[in-house]
This record gives sequence, structure tokens and C-alpha cells, in this order.
Amino acid sequence: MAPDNTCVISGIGLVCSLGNSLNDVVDRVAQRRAAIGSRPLFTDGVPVEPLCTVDDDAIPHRMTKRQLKKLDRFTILAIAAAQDCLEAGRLRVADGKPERIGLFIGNEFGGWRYVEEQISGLYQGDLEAVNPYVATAWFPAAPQGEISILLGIGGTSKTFSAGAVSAGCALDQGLHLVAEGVLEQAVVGGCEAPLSALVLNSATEMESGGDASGRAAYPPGEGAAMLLVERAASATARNAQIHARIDAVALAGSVDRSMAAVLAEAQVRPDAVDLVILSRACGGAIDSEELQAVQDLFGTGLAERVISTKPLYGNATAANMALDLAIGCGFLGRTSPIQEERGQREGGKPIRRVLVNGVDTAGQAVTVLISRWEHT
Amino acid sequence: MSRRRVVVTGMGMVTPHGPDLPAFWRKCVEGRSSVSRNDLFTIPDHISQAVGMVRGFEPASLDIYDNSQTDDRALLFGVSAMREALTDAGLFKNGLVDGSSGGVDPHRCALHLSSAVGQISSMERHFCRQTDAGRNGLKPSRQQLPGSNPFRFGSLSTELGSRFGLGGFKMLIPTGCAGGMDAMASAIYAIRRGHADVVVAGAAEAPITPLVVAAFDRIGATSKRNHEPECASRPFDRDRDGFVLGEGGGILVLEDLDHALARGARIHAELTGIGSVNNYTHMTDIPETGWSIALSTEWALRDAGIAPDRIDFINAHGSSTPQNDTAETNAFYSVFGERAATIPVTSIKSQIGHSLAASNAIEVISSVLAIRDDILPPTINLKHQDERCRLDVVANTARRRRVDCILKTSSGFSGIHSSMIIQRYTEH
Repeated sequence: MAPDNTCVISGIGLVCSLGNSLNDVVDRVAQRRAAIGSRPLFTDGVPVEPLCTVDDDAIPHRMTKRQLKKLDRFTILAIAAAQDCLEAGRLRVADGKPERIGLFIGNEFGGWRYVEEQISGLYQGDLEAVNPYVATAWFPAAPQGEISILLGIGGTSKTFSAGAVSAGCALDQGLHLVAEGVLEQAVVGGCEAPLSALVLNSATEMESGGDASGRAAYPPGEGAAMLLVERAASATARNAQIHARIDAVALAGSVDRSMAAVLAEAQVRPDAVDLVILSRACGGAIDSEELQAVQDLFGTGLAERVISTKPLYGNATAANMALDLAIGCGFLGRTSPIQEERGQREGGKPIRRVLVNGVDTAGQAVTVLISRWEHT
Repeated sequence: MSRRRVVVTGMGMVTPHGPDLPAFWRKCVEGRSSVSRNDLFTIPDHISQAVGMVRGFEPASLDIYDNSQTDDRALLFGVSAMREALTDAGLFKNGLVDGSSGGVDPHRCALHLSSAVGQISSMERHFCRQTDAGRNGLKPSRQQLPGSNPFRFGSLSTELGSRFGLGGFKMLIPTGCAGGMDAMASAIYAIRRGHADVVVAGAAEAPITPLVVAAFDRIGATSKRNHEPECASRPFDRDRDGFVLGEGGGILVLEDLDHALARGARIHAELTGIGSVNNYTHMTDIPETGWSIALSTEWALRDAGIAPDRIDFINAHGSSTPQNDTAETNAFYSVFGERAATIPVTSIKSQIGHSLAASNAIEVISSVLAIRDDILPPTINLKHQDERCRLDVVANTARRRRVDCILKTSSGFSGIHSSMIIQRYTEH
């Protein structure tokens, strides 16, 4: 990417079980303080655990009850993150051209919680048992539409479903369209609220990676994160805080290829990467392969530089990469979270470059390299 | 540096007109209706019973895998259409993408697919199995079942890609009824940026289920012309009253021009321009002025680097809803001025219904076939043209005419409007 096309992250909004403030979330990741709880999802009323859920009262959605009735939880989380993202980025869409701002969101499961409540009646023979909002609340592109309407975003916008790399695909598309000048800004991220009885059962029944009892490799989680991506010049002109420079994004059929591609594109040696945020969302062989690929690439000193977030906020599938990118931004300039965990927050070498991996259940991967923004 | 050109080198489809492309095109040119009454499940008279259903589809004949009994119908449509498209492109051998001849690197061969409702039949089937068709509540399951998880939307593309041995990146773009073109747009970007040499792109959809039928009925989107279902889809007609739910799949092999030429591939057409915007107004309504459709069209024309007067045929979204067809007409007048009244326009949905994301993939293929055969397929059921749709609709009978530059429009829930320019391939 040419220097004048340098793209940065200039706004962040997130909601997950660890909180909805970037600093708080990053602190909790550094302290390895997980947010694991339970919630009754099935008709037997027994709380399902472990789950990483977001407190209803902790979602900063700013919507009325009437508006909420039309939306599934994954859209509500996405709206909350998008609103905070634009506010943090000091971007008022109404001041500019709506068609110059795009929206790129990853989502894998859609909104089954909304449908589950109504589908029993439907299958009992009442085709009118579903309410009029099912058609627009359930499908994965619902957050894209609702956010575009709420915030007045009119530019090219798309939704991506590719498991744990969905948000990585969203970032890739948004970033390129900004760099190519099609858009001035792109709100990119991911959202997921898969904690429904039906979706949970399907994961137990049909996905590998868990143990013999069918438990998932990581606690199922929910959340959303949105990042404002734009050219550096555009962000500085608005006096927006620049959280990170985006050095490169690579999509590949395997994580060793995506990591190699991203380092090659950014012309960065592995030893210049200060922190690696692993995907580790699938369990089993996929996670082992990722760890092996990271070990092969980064070699010695690995333990000081690698963290995994899913044991902390759960596996939020399509939101994972967006949350990890936000967390990665939060770590830039801080000391290593491993050092912080040991109480060595002061005096350590500040993190300048973070590599974020996403790997889906088919083994395909997206890797993103971000670095600390330094004015030149 | 000039950007890479993207051409179509393979096409395949499954539609209510038949299980493959020749069957579709024959009936399409004849102007036949493949819309009929839904006999899959009981529907009350006051709910739409007309559907564009694929009948006589024999997945066992696909003979490239052995789980056709358990696979979702959308996946089966995708497999069938993709097999036909890869064969057409000369890239299919022994059940897999053929990398041995022609220098195709499977790792640079990606899949960008779309589906608005994914593997919804399987999802509903899982619900019924776990609840005894809604009679019991959902309880924790400890069963272990084979197959991929249909609740994951992305699994449709990863399943399809892995079955054909595609080593490149696989993703699903579930942007509702604009999805097929959005998947193609994503593919075009990937090729232009050099991220892939070949991208298999399109959509597969099997939405004729109780949940989807009920959901569309509840918002009054579907036609209630139950007494004559074959006439229910009637775009631009004064008496249209909603769309007809359809199913099917349309897959195209998109390829970098130089890559296609180097391996001696047959080039069907070139995709030169794409444009997409949000109307940021309403999740399902379209602004009556058509401004957002016009804007996506202007973007596509600009992306193609051509003036509006080059467009000589419009393959419209033409959903047969009162709102869409008027908004589209207004958009065409906004872009083309009074010339809009003389540009031939058609809507394939009049014949086979609206297969959501798959509809625009199928319509892009029909556009390419129009260029190939110099034939404009008709919009059937046009008895009394709506005076608010003052267009040169190719009414009821195909028209023989050479076309070189086609505009394809599409609109979807979430306020998405996507447009594409499809051109006859020339060397320069």
C-alpha cells in the first residue's frame, strides 16, 4: 500500500462479556480475568454453563423498547458497538456524504433467539405465529441494514459469513475500498449472539473440538466490536485519536500462509512482532496447527509474546477477530500482557506491533498486522 | 497500471425451468412459467401458495459424493450448478477442480458464494427433530451427528468449496436478495487486486420452508394470486401484488482475463462495472424516487468507465412488488433520461419467481446468454403495463436483437442496492 494510502483505526466500540470500555477490557485481558457465567436457555430452566454472556443492562444501545422489539440480540450488540465506534472516532455521518461511508460486518449465526420464541407455534400449524419482524431480524445482514438506517450510512456495505474469520473478511474489504478511494471511511467489525438453545445444540451435535461429553472447546460467547477505518490524513484532519496503523491483512487457506503473507506485505520480520493474539477458537487439530505454525514462525521467546483471548470472553465466532483487533489496539504502547500479569507493567518494552490471527473450522485463516501510530 | 479485467469463463445453474443451463435457457427464451402451487406443506388460502420450485431435480445423478440424502437442498443446488460451471470452464475433472491442465493453481481459486437464508431447510429440520415438530420444548442435546453445522451460514461455502477441492479462500456474503451480485462483486475485487486468478461466484437458495413462507407473508411481500399461480409473478404489470418465492442456484466462473487467455479458456462475457449503496431509509421499503438504485447504477457505470448511452439492455430486479418496479422505473429515468423509455428491459422473475440471493446470479447468467445468442428473454404475464412503469419491457415474447452492454440491477432487504455492467468481450 502506498504511504499516502496508509489506513488507520481511528475509532473503536465494543461490547463483550469483559465489558464495553476498551481500557477495561484490555486490563481484564492483561490480568487474565475471565468473565464466565451461566444462563438458562432451555425449557428445563437449568442454567447452561460455562457461557460468556453480556449483561443486558451493560449494552449501551440507546434504543427504545419499541425499537428493541424488532431486533435480535446480535443486532443490538452491533448497534451499540457501531454507535460507540463513531462517537469515539468523532465522526458525524450527517456532516459528510453518507455514500462515502461504508459498513462491513461479520456474522455467522444470524438471530435464532428471536425466531426460537415463535417457531413452535408455526410448526403447530399456525403460519401466522411469527411476527412481522422475523423477516428482517433473523438474517445475518440485519445489523448492516439497521446500523445503516440508524446512523445514516449510505456507501458500499456488506456482510460476511466465514466463521471465526468473518470480521477479518469484513476488514479486508472495507480497508481496500478505503485505500482505493471508493470510500472515505469504513466501519468494520463483527457481531454474534449465538446463545440460543437451538444453536447451542447444533454446535454440540455437529462440531468437533470439544471433549467427549460434547462440551465446546471454549465457552460459547457473544459480543460485537466495530472499528473505524480510514486514511491517516482523514483521521488527523478530524483530530481523531489514532489507535493503530493497519500494516497488512491477508486471507489464505491456512494460517501459516496468511501469517507469511502478512509479514511479507508489511515487510516486517517475525522478531519485530511484539504480541500475537491467537485465534484458538476451534479446539482440536485446528488450534494445534495454529500454535505449531506460530511456533515455527516466531521460534524462541514465544511464551512472552502470545496470548489467547477466547478463554476470557468466550468464543464469539464472527465477532472474535473484531474483538481481538480492538484488544490489540488497546495493547499498543503498553507492556506485554504476560509481563503485566507478573506485575511488571512499568519498565518493560512497549508493544509496537501486534499480529492478530483468525482461523475458522475449515482451517482457512485471516491474519492482520497492526502497529502503533507514530506521527511523522 | 491498468487493472486486471474480469471475464466469465463458466456458468451453471439449477432453476425451476430445469436442472441445468440449457433447460433454463430454452424455456426462458420461450417465455414459459415454471411457477406453480406449493405442495410441500399446507398453506391457508390467504397466504401465498405460488412458488417457483425446482421439480425433477435428481441429486443422486450428481455422482460426485454420496450424502445427497442428508445434504441441504441449497447445498445440492450449489453442487449441481458449480459442477456445471466448472465443467463449462474446462476446470472440472474427477470430482475436483482440475489444476493439472491449464496451469490453474487451486490455492488461487476461491469461492465467493451467497445465500440469503442459508441451509434453512436443515435448520428447521433440526428444530423439528429436537422438539417433535414444536410439541416439546428444547432440551440440551448430547447426540453426535455427522455433517457440517447448518446453523453456520458460512458452512455452505466451505462445504461446497471443499467438495470441489478449491484451495483458495471461501466465504459467504449473505446480503439478502442482492447477495448473488454482491458475491460476484467481491470476486471481481479479489481478481482485480490480484488475490485470486479464478473465483467461483454466485448463489444457492432453497427458501421454500414454513418459516420463510410465513415470514414473507407477514410483511405482505408475496403475491396472493393463488387461483392462478403461474400468472402470479408479473413485473411491471398493473395488477402485480408481490413477489413469488423461488429457489435455485446460479454459479459463474470468474477469471482474470490474462489467466483465461493463457489457458485457452472460452470467454463468455466481461464484467466491467459494479456499484453498491445503502438507501439507509428502511429495512424493506425502497425509496419511490429510485434514487438509491440510480446511485448504485451510476457507480457501476463509473466503475466500468462507460457513459449511460452505452447501455442497450436492462436485466432488471423486477420483483413484481408494486414498490420495486415503480422505483426501478424512476431510477432508470434518473440515469438515462427519456432514453429509458426505449431501452429494452426484462425481468426473469416473471418466469421462475424470486429465488432471493440466487435470483440475481441466475439473471446475470441470463444476461450473458443474451449477449451470446442475441436474444432478449421476455417478461411474461405482462397484460396491462403499469403506466408508472413506462419502459420498453420485452413483453411476453423474446426479442431478437444484438446487445453489447447490459445493466443488471438488484435490491435487497437492509436497503441494499447493487448494480453490475456486463459487456460483450472484446480484445480492447
